[in-house]
Amino acid sequence: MAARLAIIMIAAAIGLMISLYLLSVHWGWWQIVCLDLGDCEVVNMSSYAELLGIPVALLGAFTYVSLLVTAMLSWRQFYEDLASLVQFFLAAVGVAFSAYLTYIEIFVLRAICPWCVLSALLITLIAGLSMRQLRAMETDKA
Amino acid sequence: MPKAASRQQRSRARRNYTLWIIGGSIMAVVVVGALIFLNTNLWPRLSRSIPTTGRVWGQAHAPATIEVFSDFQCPVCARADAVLHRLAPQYIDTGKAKVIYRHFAFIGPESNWAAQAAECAGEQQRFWDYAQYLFTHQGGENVGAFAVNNLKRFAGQIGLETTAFNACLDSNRHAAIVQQDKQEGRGRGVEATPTFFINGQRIVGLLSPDQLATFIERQPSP
Repeated sequence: MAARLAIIMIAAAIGLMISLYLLSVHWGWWQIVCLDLGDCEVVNMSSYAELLGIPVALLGAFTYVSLLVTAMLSWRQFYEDLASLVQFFLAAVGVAFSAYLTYIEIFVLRAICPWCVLSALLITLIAGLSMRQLRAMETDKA
Repeated sequence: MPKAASRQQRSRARRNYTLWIIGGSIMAVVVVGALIFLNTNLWPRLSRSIPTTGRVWGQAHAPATIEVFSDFQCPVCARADAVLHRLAPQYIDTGKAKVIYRHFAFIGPESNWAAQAAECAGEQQRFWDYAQYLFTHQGGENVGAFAVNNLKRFAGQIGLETTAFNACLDSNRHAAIVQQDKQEGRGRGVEATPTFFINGQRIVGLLSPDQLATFIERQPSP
């Protein structure tokens, strides 16, 4: 249980750093480092990089922060039932939106941003672990 | 604890877990779907506004608005600029049309620097002069023609206040506008330069003076 939460927290922390990096790029603070792996600028400066006027990277940062909070609450066994449910729901939303964005990258923009792919993988990992955590939480009751 | 009872409790617990997972997943998809729908259909209508960024050539009340998304390193854009200058005496100076430059700096970092440099020239009310200088002094794409030291030299050539210009360029303060223009361009379907929007109608590629004149004439008069 503790190991699972630790991995979730580490993944969320990495995801948060990536989101903040992409956010600063989106706001034009510096040029993105893409390492010749794709076309980061096309993706991050596309109209799809904002949802209702809010940068997607900002939404990602909020999500990862919230996941860190829920994981910490579970770890401290403070309202862990509610925290685990919220955690799974948030991660599920993250996976759904990441799937949509990945579809956009491949089929609409025809440009991949490796940072976005990495974030999608991290949120999927967190969602999977959150699902297992819910299971463990429920059967613990029995 | 009797075995039968605990087995019952365990299967009930597993059923609850499955319900939460399924319910949560469906809700997540619904929420995301709703947000995407709103973003695609409602948001563009809410955020559409008269462009306040970009540089305007001509009189504000001119009935024909020509927005041009352009990259200073793009050779075809240079020809488009020449076309605009050809039509200026008849259409721009007479208040029939105004041109709004929108940055679509995508060819390389020099495109970005050149765009910022033009904005710095704009601080001294010489945006379009500097733009014309860039277009008439292209030297190939991403080969150093628009390196920062060259951009600074150009400013001196057209008589700008170089101390202020250099400070402006070094400060990077127009990076955001350049990015925003490109972002908006992509949102409006711009993929190549030059892309014109004449009173909202999108036309991709170079227009001849006659073609552009026809478009301008077709706009409703005030």
